[in-house]
Amino acid sequence: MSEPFGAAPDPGLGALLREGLDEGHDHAATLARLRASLAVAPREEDDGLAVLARWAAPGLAVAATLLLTVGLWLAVSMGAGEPAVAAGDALGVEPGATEVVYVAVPETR
Amino acid sequence: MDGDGEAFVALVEPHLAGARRLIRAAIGDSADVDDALQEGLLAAWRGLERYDPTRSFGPWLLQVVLNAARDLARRERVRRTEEIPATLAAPAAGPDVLADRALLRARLRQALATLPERQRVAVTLFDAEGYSHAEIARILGVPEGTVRSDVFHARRALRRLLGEGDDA
Repeated sequence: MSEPFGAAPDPGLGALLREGLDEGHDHAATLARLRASLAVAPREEDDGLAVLARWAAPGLAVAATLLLTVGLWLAVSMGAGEPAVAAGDALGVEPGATEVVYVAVPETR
Repeated sequence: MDGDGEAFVALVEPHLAGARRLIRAAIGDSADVDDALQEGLLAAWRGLERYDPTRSFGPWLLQVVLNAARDLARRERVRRTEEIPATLAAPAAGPDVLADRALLRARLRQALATLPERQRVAVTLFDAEGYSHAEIARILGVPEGTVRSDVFHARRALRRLLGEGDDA
């Protein structure tokens, strides 16, 4: 066995460990058991809830983007149909003539 | 079994022996080693979507298998903390005894059983499986320096317990 602080794997200790830990290992039996288990074990991707969970985040993001786009489109299209008119223009008063506005507003009701 | 299953078997087969050794090092000399291995492999199968194909498959598989084995050991309390026999702690009995491989294997497992789990796993992955300190750090989820320290202490303890010297 090499020095315990060696930076490289110790071939002697490695072989000893493999030999000691391998005892009783039946590779073929392990593979056969694995194949039998896999035949009945679903993967996460086959699980309906897992599929929904994976789709949830991107789905929500797409829905939010669509809502935002439609909202902006509606706002723009509604605003374009009615040109903006200044309050002063609508009332027919000169800019800065606030007294007239105060008088004129009740009369327009 | 479908093609995916066969592909998975082909993927894990080169790592089976190493995974089993790792489990045995982690949970001890127990009949449940093969159960733990199967549980770990199934956990890897179920969680295959989480594997990042840009990284090595071996460390990822061993990480999943090790976690499954630890869970099983916790649940079934299979981990045994055997007292090291006085005969084992004594210096080597002689070259004729050391030549007896069966006895040496038994002594090794007994010696491993006296080490903390992380040290057993670290020295097995480093010396028996050939993983680097960085890969072992990723498998165990600890800093690389901790792995180096674990390997150092495990080697020193094994040398002492196997009677190849006493540098403690």
